[in-house]
Amino acid sequence: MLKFVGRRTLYMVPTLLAISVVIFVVINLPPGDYVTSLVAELRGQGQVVSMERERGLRELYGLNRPLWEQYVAWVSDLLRGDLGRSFDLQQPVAEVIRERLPITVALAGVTLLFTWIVAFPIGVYAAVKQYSIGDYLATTFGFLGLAIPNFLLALLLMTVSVQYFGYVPEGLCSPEYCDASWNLGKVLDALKHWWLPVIVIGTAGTAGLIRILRANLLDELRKPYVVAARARGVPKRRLVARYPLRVAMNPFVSTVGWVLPLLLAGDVIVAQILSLPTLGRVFLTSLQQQDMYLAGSILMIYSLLTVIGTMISDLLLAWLDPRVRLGYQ
Amino acid sequence: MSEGTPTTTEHSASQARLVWWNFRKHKLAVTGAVVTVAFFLIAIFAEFLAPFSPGRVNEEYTYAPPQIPRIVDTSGESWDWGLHVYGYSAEQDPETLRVTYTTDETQKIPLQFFAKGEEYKLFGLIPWDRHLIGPANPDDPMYLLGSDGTGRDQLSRLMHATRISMTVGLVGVALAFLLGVTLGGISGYFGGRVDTFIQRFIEFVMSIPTLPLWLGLTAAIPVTVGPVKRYFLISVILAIIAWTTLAREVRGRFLALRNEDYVTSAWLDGSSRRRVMFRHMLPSTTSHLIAALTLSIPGVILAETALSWLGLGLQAPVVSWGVLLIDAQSVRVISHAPWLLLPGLAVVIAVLALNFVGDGLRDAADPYRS
Amino acid sequence: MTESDALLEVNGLKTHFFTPDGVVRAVDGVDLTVPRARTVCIVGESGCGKSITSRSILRLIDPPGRIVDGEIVWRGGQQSGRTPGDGAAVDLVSLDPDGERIRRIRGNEISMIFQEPMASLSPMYTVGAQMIETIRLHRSMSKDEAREHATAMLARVGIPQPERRIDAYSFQLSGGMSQRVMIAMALACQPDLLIADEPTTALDVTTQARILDLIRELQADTHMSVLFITHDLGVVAELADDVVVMYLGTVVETGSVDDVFHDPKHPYTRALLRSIPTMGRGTRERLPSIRGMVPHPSQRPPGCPYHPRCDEAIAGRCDQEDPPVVALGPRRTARCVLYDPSGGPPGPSPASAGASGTAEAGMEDTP
Ligand SMILES: Nc1ncnc2c1ncn2[C@@H]1O[C@H](COP(=O)(O)OP(=O)(O)O)[C@@H](O)[C@H]1O
Ligand code: SF4
Ligand SMILES: [Mg+2]
Repeated sequence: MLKFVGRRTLYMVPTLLAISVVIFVVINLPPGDYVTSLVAELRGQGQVVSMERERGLRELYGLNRPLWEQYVAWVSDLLRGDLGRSFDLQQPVAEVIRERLPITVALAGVTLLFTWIVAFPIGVYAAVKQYSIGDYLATTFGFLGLAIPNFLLALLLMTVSVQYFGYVPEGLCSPEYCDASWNLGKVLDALKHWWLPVIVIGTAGTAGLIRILRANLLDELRKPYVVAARARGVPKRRLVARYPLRVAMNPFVSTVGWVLPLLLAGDVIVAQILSLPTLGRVFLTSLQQQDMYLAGSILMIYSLLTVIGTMISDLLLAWLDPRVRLGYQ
Repeated sequence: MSEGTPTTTEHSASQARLVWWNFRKHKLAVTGAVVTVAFFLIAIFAEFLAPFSPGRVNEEYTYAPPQIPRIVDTSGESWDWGLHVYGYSAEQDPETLRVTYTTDETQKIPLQFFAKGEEYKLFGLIPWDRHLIGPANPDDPMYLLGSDGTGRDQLSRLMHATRISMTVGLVGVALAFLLGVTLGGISGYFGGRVDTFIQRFIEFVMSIPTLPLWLGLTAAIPVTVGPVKRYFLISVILAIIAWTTLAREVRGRFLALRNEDYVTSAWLDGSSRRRVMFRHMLPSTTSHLIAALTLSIPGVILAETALSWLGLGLQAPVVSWGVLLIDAQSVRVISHAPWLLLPGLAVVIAVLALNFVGDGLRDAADPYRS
Repeated sequence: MTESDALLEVNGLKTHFFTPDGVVRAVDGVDLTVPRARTVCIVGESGCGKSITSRSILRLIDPPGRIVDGEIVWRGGQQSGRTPGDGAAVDLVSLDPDGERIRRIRGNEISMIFQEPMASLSPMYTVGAQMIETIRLHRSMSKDEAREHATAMLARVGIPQPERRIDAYSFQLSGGMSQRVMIAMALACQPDLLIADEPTTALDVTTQARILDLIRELQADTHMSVLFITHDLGVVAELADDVVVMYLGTVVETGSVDDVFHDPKHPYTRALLRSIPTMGRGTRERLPSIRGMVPHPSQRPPGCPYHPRCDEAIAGRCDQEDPPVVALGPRRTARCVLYDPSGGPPGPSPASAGASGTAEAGMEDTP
């Protein structure tokens, strides 16, 4: 097991390196560079920037060096934690990320939990009671959940919230509670704000998970070992819980790997509508303003989270499934 | 338990019939197919089906609510037959100065099939000026699905958006298909080290968070790029992610097929490798591929919608469902003019329909699995 | 045979599947008896309802399948160590398939082993964990006692290094080893009846022979009964005391192994026997196979289900009326109009048909 963990961790390094190359390419795709936009920004503010000064700036930022040297410089900056400066927020990117990463991860975590808690019983029920009304409802939800764009869902829920609860849950807390220490009021306030983003971001993942869990469990329930266990007198409830569910759990564990990017993507969109203090909004703004270095850094953070998520799910999978652990699959 | 069922792979012609027979049994899938075909018909004949051009503004009728077409007018002494809608009367809020329109039953706007209206070129070639339906007097307001903030007809815009959104899906998936079939086919056909390499590559592409990467790539498109080029660039970007699933599907099929008897026997007969690949392996994977293809279109449509809505995908004056939904950004607008969410409904219906078709196809292609 | 000799008695069992494409009469009137301490083989082509019959006995049929008629009388469970009150005859069809009573019969009084031994073990738990679970379901033992018992059982079925193998996973074992594990698990609670559904079909020939030897040896040692299902007449000859021949969900002939092999009555049995490869015949020569194909049970022909393929079918009779089950002696039946004592339209006389059958089969059975 230890060896497995070691191998899996080492495997992250080349993946992340390869991703960084892709991201660096993306950063350099648009015509013009950081200095072009910087100069445009300065000129926009009415400053006079000479060609000389522009060239000087380029030298200062190393933008006149060959691409691969720039790449190395960028990566080593990243490794040192120097992620550049955000135009929009007028502060270092590292600081922006440090401020926003915890809440982003917290939102993703809560949503993941929500996804599990909802999808698990529904998926199991739908499979065990195949073709029941509950199964049809679950299947319908599974289809709808994947078909609704999440910004649309956000808009709909916001409209509903305004109509029936009389408020738009913008942000993740009301100003009076944001810096307060935890008490009942703050918990209630959090509930008031978190339900919407959690539902919106989590719906697609929940729907996908229900479908996967149902299909897997149905597959497993048909396997000979289930009949064999029943023929040995294992009671039905225990039979489902112990035998096929253990295998059908695999996609659940794998979700950490594939739901995480989904959640982060959801965050990009929902953060915009609900003005959440998460990374998503910064990312979007940076893209809209073609602030590619900032966007690239955030993209790198997203990738890092995803790769870590995948690793965690692989490790959990190995821990759960002896076939993976012992290298038989 | 399926010992008694036949498992021989038939010739591709009869297999197609078998798949079709099985497909017809899935009611949901058939419904999905009908809806999908309808969407594509709208896409093809958008100019004719739409009463107006998508860009026609009319400042006099902003946020006009949908009208209900009526056949008989019972307001007068005698019943008056003839297709018509009611006109609008405007009311201005003295404080906010906002104008609201309500349907006015005293005004009657007669409608016509094959009404004369704006000129257009059908299929971009044939000049014509007839529209399936329109007001008898081209200047009368007709907003069957309401209008937007500049008085553009929602129905016409929706139809033109259908063209863009559905074809972005198709073009994107077609590109993804090329990539996927090539790499997946190579991977599955040769196996061994080539396979391992391509699999690693696919795993790597999949490990990059999809939407953020899409966003990053679209943001990298220079702002100065024209609408047509932008359309194709977006399709390419969407294809970049969609191909991985297709490639995996193709590879899996090929791996399974490699072990089938008739491929081996074709080999023993001395057929060339390429011949084996194209004569025997491809036809029998076709139905699975079509299923996989169909199932990957919804993802592309959803992605395009999200990208455009965020302002990073397609941009006005091109209309797509996502572009249309930009008008529905705030709760205030939505509660004032809920019909602006209709493009969202179109997205949901299209995605559901394609999913049903794809699922039905997959089940039909695998009749012995369930 | 006296009443108490019969450990299991199946009478008129019908198990049908109600599928969207119509009713599949997988088992359609099966009668059979398993006497104590004997081995009964059910033989028949693939798809004739052998597995469904055996699963019906343990009430393992899931929707859309259902037992629609018949009774399954069980007279087992009299040994010590079982709950008092057990042991009286019970009709398994009357039990709730998810209930406590049938659950205590499964794996305890009646055990079952299957065709795919590796797939019959969960890949998520060790062999030992699954054995211990089964033992503790039916016996009040501590985990350690159960583990000890499981190890002893593994040793008993000839698994080398049982102390180590008990912690192996199914995917680490060969097919033969897995089947031995399944047998050990099946016998752990000393059942009265072992149902073996083609347990050697998926194994190679050598392993197959070893497993058959093992089953025979264990049967002799424990005096349990065995209901062995196979489509291989060679296996039947080696193992059976009694034979039950099935065709399309019905029993067409029963009898002791000697009677059935040397004096087959039913035309189907005779055809089956003709198609066994024997040493005398060259292996290259094509075996005479039964003409036509087994129809799917949803398209079962009217009258005698075998009539479209039967060389001796009597037009106007076999294709219209159900043939009667004719008792030809103690524990010997055939379901065919040729032996119907009540006569009917003239056909080859039972005696002559029987005689010719004897000669034929006798020749074929001689190596
Ligand atoms: N779940 C099911 N649904 C419909 N038909 C079934 C089902 N299970 C088995 N059958 C049918 O019942 C018949 C008997 O099956 P089975 O008992 O498995 O045959 P075998 O004699 O080979 O063991 C087969 O023809 C099969 O098609
Ligand atoms: S009943 Fe008739 S068809 Fe059936 S086996 Fe006997 S002779 Fe043949
Ligand atoms: Mg069977």
